[in-house]
Amino acid sequence: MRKNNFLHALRSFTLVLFLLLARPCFGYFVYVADFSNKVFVLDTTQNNAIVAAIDVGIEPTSLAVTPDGTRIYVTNNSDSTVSVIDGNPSSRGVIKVITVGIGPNPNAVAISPDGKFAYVGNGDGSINVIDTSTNTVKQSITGSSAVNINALTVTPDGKELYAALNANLFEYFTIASDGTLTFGNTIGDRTPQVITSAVTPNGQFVFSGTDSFGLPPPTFLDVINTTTHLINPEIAILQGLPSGIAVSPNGEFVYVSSAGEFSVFKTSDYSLLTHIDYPSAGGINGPIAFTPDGLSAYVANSQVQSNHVDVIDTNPLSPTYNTVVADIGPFGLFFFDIAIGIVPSSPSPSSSPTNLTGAQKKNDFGLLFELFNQLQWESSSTSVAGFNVYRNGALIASLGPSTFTYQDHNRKRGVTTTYSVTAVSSSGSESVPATISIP
Amino acid sequence: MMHLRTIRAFLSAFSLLSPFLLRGTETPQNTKTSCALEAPTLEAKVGYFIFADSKMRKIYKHGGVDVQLSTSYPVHKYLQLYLSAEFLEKHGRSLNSHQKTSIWQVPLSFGLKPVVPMSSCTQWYFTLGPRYVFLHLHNDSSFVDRNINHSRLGGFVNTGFNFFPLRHFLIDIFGEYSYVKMNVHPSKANVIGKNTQVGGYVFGLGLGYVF
Repeated sequence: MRKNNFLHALRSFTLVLFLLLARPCFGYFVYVADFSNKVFVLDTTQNNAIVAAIDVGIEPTSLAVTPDGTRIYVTNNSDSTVSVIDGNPSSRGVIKVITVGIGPNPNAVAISPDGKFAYVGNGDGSINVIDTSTNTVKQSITGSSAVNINALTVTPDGKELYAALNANLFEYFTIASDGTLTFGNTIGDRTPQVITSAVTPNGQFVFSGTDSFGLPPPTFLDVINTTTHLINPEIAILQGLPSGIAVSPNGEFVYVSSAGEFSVFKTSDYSLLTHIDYPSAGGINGPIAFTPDGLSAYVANSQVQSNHVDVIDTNPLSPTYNTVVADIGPFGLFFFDIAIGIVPSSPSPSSSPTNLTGAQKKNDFGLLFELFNQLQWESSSTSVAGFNVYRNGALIASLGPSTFTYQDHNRKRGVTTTYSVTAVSSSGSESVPATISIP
Repeated sequence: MMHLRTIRAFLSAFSLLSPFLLRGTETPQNTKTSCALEAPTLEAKVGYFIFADSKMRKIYKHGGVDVQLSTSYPVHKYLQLYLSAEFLEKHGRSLNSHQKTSIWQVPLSFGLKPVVPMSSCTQWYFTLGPRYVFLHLHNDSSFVDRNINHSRLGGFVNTGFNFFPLRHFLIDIFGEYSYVKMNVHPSKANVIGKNTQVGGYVFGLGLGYVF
């Protein structure tokens, strides 16, 4: 008995000590979609400095990051495209622009928990399913009505997708194992439009912000039970559009931003925990995103000629708990969305293949022969998942981690060919290539 | 290479000296083992084949079995007509990529065969003539033509000794050299044909029937 009490006390002390001293142990990238048709990238390990401004399509209204941090999907509302950004710092940039088929004006995006599918909600009420391995649209589906989709949320088990419509509706879809959707049903009849949504980590509830749109306040925070698909009691909040909702990673609190105030509610009984004051008054307190460790929340705060990203300390044991501890900006024109991704675990430049050699040889059968270029390299890294071989810039082979040679057959005599070999990490990121030309 | 030079030197010396070496073993014609030296023969031979071309030897590292069926017909006391059909097969691996390859050859030979009696039951012979070879090449590779069939005219020379221990029975010890150049034309893109000597050396033993 005494031993158990001691162990329990020791565990609690260790946890308290960790939380008190905890600062983000891992770096994160904060992605902000801006009206200047750019996605800004902030690095939390560099005091939230802006490390990149990536050109995307016209009016990037929403974005989402894959769980491994390697891909960021950005919906470009005015040109009906989705920009796919490589999240690896060494190769950061737009790697593909997807035209979303029958669905114009994409306005919302969510990623499946396994990172295999991206769901894009469009202005005509349709949803596109994108296979992230090929970045192609594999399904387009329309739910109950041809109404703009404002927000999409995928449950943590990856089995349901909730769409917040620009009407008095929510609707949900079931997700099959291949990522495709089947319409489930509509939910609720709040007036008049649902703006934003977030799901609890246990997948039990989806919180939605409903705007009364011109009618007198209050505006509502609805709670949808994902088992019954019914709305639980509404929560009255203060004035303004609930433009951002996020559930803390531990599932205990839901943070809601609206013009003029920022509120924290307990998910256990929906009671108000606190309001958070902003350094600057006015403006539109926009989308919110938590760091995966739950210690900070980033809010895109848009004001006329003065857009800021504010950082809220969400560590409950911190002396600055639930206060704004950083104010980054001004930058950009108007913030549409914010998302946070982990830093991809890419192979470091030192794990690039070394000692790459190559020569042309004859594959001689006696009465006939063909020419092949033989490549050989070394690798000192043990974290390499494989190697990619490129011929004149085109990928020709993907090899396992124990393969250090490659033969490129049926070559023409007298033609110089340039080969590159990269090391590939388990997340799919590639190292700086080693290159050789064989005459 | 040293091994082959030695073999060639041995063959040359043996061919030149054998008539004189074996004459001493001549026995009287009226002995019980007197042999019919001027009768047609039918013979089955088996030998060990080695390619003359060095590249072919590297590809087909080991020797192959060569089997022959031959017949000799006397047209003169010391001259015979010679006819044979042969089959040989070898397996190997391509150079540098080590992909499997196999070669089959069916040579058909015709020649003139002078014979020199060494004794009543021993003769030395020497054959020279043309040879037509049918060749099939199989390559276990997706980079070159998988199957190639070709044929070409070449030539051969062989020499050896026939022993007649019994009236209608002969034992043959022989050596042979053939020269046939094949020039194949691959159909696959970026595959180049070569002009290659596919003949070589055979050393073997034959058993035959004397009519």
